[in-house]
Amino acid sequence: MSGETADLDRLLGGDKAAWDRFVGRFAPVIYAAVHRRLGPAGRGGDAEDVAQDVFVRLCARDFHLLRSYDAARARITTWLTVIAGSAAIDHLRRQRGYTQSIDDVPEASLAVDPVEPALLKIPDGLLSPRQTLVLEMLYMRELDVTDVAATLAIDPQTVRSTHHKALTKLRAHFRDSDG
Amino acid sequence: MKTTREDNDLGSPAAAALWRRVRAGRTPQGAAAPDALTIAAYADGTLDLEARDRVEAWMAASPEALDLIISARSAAAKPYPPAPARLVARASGLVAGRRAIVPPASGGVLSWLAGWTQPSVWAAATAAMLLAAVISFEVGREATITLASAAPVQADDSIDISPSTDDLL
Repeated sequence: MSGETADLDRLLGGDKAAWDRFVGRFAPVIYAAVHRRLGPAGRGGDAEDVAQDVFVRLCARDFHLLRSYDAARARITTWLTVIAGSAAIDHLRRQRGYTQSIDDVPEASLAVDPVEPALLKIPDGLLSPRQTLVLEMLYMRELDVTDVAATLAIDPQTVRSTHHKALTKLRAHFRDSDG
Repeated sequence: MKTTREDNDLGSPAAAALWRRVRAGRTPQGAAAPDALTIAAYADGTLDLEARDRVEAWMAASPEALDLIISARSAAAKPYPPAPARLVARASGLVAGRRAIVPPASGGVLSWLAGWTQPSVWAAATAAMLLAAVISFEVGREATITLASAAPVQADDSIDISPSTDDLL
């Protein structure tokens, strides 16, 4: 971490050259995190402006946000990725507030689905957050076991056993509900 | 509902269909979003067990939260393509040349002394001294010219005090 943040004290003291080095070093990190979120949503063209907003936030009020960074807790690239990703998510939320004229919506989108599979309700707490996350990542995000393990920082065998327990719980719940 | 061993197999169509139906019927309780540093600490694997569980509860309740974590984890090892040059220029321009290392003190002798640690103060003092030296040189040179151009003292202006020879005889 010390390599990534060696200049930070000088930057926070107002050293212009240290700020320029910070921008040069971390602009690719911030831009990549923003573009990764906006691109698939069709808003890749906004990435530069959103990334610029991140830098504005970092140096606003005498670098208030940047001063909150603690190198003992996380790497600065990870922290900046989270901040940039959050900024991109906020940007998309603001864009979604724009309402589209019904005349612009293709007719196919307005059609009513003929049959919907019955939704299943489960009580809160039936599955632990980790079990929920494993099922979500495997079946909604279609990640493989290795990626799920990396995301949750657990080993692949734990992913498999968590998956098995979660499915067993769900099946038992619905079996009991059916009587 | 009969359960077969295959239904619980990881990746089975039945398991996928079951989860999709459960998910569609979920109304997850919104967990409080942790701050960016806590999220980053989770992604870097430095959180304790209790804090990790809180972050996972938040992730389970919010698809966007899960996106953030997936992005943060996967970003760690990637080489990054260069950022647009215009972004770098715009971001650099957010901070102009400011006072550098020592923040201004509040007042008194110490603040006066602290002022002398700033390069800008030294630069200003040096410039003032040079200006004073130049001005002094010019003034001195002007004075020398003025004296040199003044008319010399005439011998006829002196008083003759020697007696005439007639008075002595």
